[in-house]
Amino acid sequence: MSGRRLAPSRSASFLTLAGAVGAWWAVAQIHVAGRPLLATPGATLGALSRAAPALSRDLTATAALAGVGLGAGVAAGLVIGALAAVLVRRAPVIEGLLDFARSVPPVVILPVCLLALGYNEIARLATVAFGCVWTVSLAVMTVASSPRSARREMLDLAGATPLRALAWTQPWESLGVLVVGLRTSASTAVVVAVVTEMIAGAERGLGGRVIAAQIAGDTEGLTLDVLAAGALGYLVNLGLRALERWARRLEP
Amino acid sequence: MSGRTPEGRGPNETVVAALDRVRVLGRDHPMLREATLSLRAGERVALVGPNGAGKSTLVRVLLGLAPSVEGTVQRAAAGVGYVPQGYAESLFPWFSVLRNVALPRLVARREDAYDAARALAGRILPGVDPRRRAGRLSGGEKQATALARALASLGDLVIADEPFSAIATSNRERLRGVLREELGGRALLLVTHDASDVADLCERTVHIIDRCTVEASP
Repeated sequence: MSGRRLAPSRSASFLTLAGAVGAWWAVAQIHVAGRPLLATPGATLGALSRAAPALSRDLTATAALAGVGLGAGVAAGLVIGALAAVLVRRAPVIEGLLDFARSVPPVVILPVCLLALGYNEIARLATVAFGCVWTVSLAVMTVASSPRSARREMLDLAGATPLRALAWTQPWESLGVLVVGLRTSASTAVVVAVVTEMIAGAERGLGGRVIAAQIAGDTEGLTLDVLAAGALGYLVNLGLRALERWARRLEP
Repeated sequence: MSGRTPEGRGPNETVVAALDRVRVLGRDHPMLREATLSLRAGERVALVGPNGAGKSTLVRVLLGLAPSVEGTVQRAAAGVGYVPQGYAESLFPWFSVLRNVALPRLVARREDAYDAARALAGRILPGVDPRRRAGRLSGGEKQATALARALASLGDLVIADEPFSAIATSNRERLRGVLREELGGRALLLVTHDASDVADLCERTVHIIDRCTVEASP
């Protein structure tokens, strides 16, 4: 064992990418019941050139649904988490309740929202928010109910007001937990947004495109939509991983 | 930096912090059985005893950070300088060394906060860029930063719980000298296992034996 690490190489990365495209092409040659499993890379590129304007409009709609739902979920999660932090010492059962709520698959809430709010964007938004709110609540509760830190003690000894002591410690000390909660919630938001568009027959969005392509038997369009949904989730993850790395650097 | 001079220093009868027959309970056993200690202004006292004897608990009670179940406590007033045993967790890793050292004076809204901190950091951490983030320091540098911050405080008392435990032996004597000078007329309660610390810095020693304080003759 030399223990020597292999240095990253551009040519190795290029070959890996080329291999992935080759594997994609090979899978696209498989036909089941007379239809290909996937469109070939070339056919998918052709579909992209034809559908680019509509695809970007639908991608934006899904991203907006996920973003607004996430925002609503985070806002509600901050309030619920803060209230839970006040209650949890006297009623520890609240942690179990939040964990239970988090365990309910958000998609099964969609019919409830559709019944209550009608077949519209609000129902889809509420479902996405439901998928995010509990993770954020639990993160906020954990942070806000954690024991007083040594840093808070130092500020108290120096004579700092409670508000100042809180402002100098809490945002920084909570950053790591909150960013992890946010990242989990954002991933959930993208998944739930696409699924709600598929189920509830949205006029816009990637979910609606996927269902429409499936009904029309448009393999090229379907392959393109799957890749677009993957790209959206991947981009959100990349952004949040960068945020998490930044938060980890600042963490105590 | 404290504005006090070692000259003219010497204990007077003003008590800056005290415990009288204090008892502290842990979960299933007493952390302190009977602790009595009085710190007069300007006095430098060593608190010594084996590991687990209750030294840090006594300090925390004196600072008002831990409750007692019996006895009377005269807490150290706000502005006390404190080097905790867990010095690393007490620093603000997202702030610079300078801001960490300036913290007690920033809290007190003193205009000289950064000047005083810069001078102290220069003496205590001569090789360290004061703009560096505290989270990036080594263990010894963090402990020295905590010591500088305690000395930047404005109160009449500095409490240091094993403040040289992570400092290289070659540096300890120098830091003891800086501590002695920068203390000025403030009282010091020094928790230590090191006889050199006691000999160099303190005029009175209090032992903790079996969770009770015992005053030693000078």
